[in-house]
Amino acid sequence: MKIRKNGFLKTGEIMSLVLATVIVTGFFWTPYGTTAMNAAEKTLPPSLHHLLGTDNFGRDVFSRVISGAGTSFLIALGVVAVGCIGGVLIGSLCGYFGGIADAVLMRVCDAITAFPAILLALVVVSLFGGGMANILLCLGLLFIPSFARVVRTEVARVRDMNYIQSARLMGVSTGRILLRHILPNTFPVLLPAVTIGFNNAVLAEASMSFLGVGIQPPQASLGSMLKDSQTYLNTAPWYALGTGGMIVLLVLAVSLLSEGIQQGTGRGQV
Amino acid sequence: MKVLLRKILNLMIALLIVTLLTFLALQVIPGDPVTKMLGADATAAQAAQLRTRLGLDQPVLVRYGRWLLSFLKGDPGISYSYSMPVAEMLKGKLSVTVILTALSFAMTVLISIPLGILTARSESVRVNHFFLIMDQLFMALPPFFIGILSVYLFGIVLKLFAPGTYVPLSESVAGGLGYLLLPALAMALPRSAMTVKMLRSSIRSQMAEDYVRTARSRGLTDSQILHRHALRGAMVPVVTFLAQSAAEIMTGTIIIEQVFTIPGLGRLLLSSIGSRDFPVVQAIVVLMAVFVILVNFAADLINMAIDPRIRVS
Amino acid sequence: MDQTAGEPAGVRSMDRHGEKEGTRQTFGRTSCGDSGDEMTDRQSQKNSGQQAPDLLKVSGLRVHFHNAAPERYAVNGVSFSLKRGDTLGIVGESGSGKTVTAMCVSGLMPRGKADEEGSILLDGREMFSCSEENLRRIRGQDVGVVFQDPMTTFDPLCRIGRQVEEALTVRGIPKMERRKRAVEAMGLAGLRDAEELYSRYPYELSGGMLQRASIAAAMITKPKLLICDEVTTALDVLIQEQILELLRNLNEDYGMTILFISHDLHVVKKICKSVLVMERGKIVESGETAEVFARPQHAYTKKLIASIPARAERCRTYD
Repeated sequence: MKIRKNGFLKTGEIMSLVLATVIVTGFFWTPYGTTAMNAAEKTLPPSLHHLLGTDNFGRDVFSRVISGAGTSFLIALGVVAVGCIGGVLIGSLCGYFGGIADAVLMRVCDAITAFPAILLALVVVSLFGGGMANILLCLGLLFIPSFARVVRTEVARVRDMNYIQSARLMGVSTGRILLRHILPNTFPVLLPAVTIGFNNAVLAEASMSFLGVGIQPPQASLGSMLKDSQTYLNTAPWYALGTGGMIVLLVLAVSLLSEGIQQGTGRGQV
Repeated sequence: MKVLLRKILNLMIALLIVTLLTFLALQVIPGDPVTKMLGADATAAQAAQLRTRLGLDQPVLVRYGRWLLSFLKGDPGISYSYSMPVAEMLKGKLSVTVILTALSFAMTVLISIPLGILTARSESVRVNHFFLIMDQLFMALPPFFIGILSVYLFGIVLKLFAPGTYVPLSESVAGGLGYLLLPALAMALPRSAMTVKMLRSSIRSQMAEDYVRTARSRGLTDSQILHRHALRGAMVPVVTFLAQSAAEIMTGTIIIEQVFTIPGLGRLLLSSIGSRDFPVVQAIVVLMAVFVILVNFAADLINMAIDPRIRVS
Repeated sequence: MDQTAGEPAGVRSMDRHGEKEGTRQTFGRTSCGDSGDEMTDRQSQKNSGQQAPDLLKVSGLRVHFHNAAPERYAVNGVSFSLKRGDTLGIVGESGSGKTVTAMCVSGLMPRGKADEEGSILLDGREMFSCSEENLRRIRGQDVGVVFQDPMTTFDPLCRIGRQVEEALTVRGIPKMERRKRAVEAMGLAGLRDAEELYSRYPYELSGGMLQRASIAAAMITKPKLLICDEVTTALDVLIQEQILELLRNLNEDYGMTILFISHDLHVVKKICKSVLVMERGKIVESGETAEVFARPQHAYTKKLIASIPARAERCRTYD
């Protein structure tokens, strides 16, 4: 797949690269401990010492934002991985073999996609308990249908093409046809689905943590930090701005990348 | 007509499945409401008695049937925590959420449709780029963050309103609606950006169709082609997307009500989940699910009116 | 895509067309915007010395698309003329420039995509010096176009009748008259039950019926020139014959002037009095159809004729 360079792609690449570097660094080192409280430095405005100021416990907001972004990043990655693998499996088998199983599964997928994922995730996670693993699994499973749908459509389209027919006539095994000839065709449609899924996962996790049913304190999460920051909007607005800004940057970087890829492959608009 | 009947049948099935699934899901949740209600030191006899009184000793499907029947009659049961009818608890809250959703959805449509058409018609590369960038920016802004920003800006810096002072519509229509404007806008902005982007590319792809050249050959102006032909075709995917948006906005109220401290369904849902008040949770989830299904059904009907081919297949 | 530098005189860059009007060199008369009837009168006065003035006169037409290689002309110096009531075929393979020529004549060239030079006189009116507004008036009124694929030429969401009468609608003809004329035109195009088909949707009609409807739509204003761009290509053989028959009747019975574009010499032979053969943007051979068939001069024409399955021979073999 050839992708033409364009402004969106370049900006997206640079933003993603910078964010990824910061986030990965954050896994090993942050300027201050993410849970280190300091009673003497409560709600300090941004300065050279604390780039985004400090929160009500005197914790460095910048450090916590980076670590929270790391959590979001890991969860989103995991959700997309679960959704993508499940979606490709279900989608390609349904698309290739068709039949009643296909019809029923796609019906179920439609029903789940029509339903806002956040509501389901909210109820399920809050009743079964939060924490990274639960969120990841729950959102991942809920994201399978959207991937399955695009994969199925593409596989069903490619399945009837002449070169697949001739491969079948030449006696190539079904598994090999699926793996070597059909699946590579789904990459162009999978790529936008992955980026959209990533963003939806980031937003879903942030929303759930914001409502207090996601990542539990003291682990840093952008959503729960934003929730906390609301109480101190009067005295420490930088807390909210820094945290929310990070969510926006994460989402923006990936969506620019996605838009860039779509334009670069001629699927986007000018 | 046959298609319509089939669609209605599908709708019924979807409603049944959603209610059944919600009902079943809440049965397998860990945490026993009876223990919660009576406290840890209740006797087994007391527990059994309460169980019988709540109908929890019956098989699941029987309980589902009973619950569905009374739900249809407008009685979704008795709250475990407050021992009052759920319908009573929902009353005032439902209207707040519905009005907030409707307001936000109306904003989305009013912002996105004209803007989408306008930007689709523009041939200037600069204007197009500007709108593409704006789309990306606004799509990346989560409603709860827009909400917090506007609370900060309008509530704290400019002091145009006092956060957390929602007045029920029954007391002051203007005051209540006025308070709902910002939260509605917070949800409408990112949705509008998405809709604009979608409508624009939908119109563009229609304008690239063969029939547009034919219409040009008959002497139609571009704007006549747009209004007589391209717009109708372009609206089909947008209507579907708008239905999805209405659903997203409805669930989005759960969060935005939290940001603006609005006493709607969302806040009730969260507190009920916290206290494992299943009849309330169940009622709210089912209400939202029914809303989602009905909105999608409405979108289907609208698209059937637009596209004659959908009426037959 | 700005082409200001090094632009030869007489090139009309359609995207900046308004500024250029009047300053560019044009061939022949430049009078646009007058109503068709007046034009014809003036025309006949001016040409009173000659007999039967050409309805269409194309001279030195060159078209260069902005995204093509610098010396790659889609149409490279094409000149021809077409008399009222005549049928002219343009034949060539895809990329030979035949469709681009037709687009220029019908005033349908997309704006800002190409530079055009030369002259196209339609009924004495120079198309290249017409404003977009005047071109739009010409389209549908003076020139009707029938396109290749009847399945995509109609808006699938719009009733057939509404589309057939559309050229009248945008000219402010009242509804009742529009409907009457649409049904008439559809009947003329060989559609039975035109009244009933009027309120049908495109997906409810077969390809052949749709092509008849699109001919009806192109003819509803009684245009001076009917351009048929590969109108039989997407149809199966039997329907092809019927559509050709219809076009022949329109020409013979109603004197409709037809410019017929096709890649298929065999089809052209059935309907066109004279023919142009185009290859890589140039006319390589022209003349009476029968003459060209009987004594092809150019190698390319010979190749095209040879590629037609010889029906007579085949019949002999199989019978």
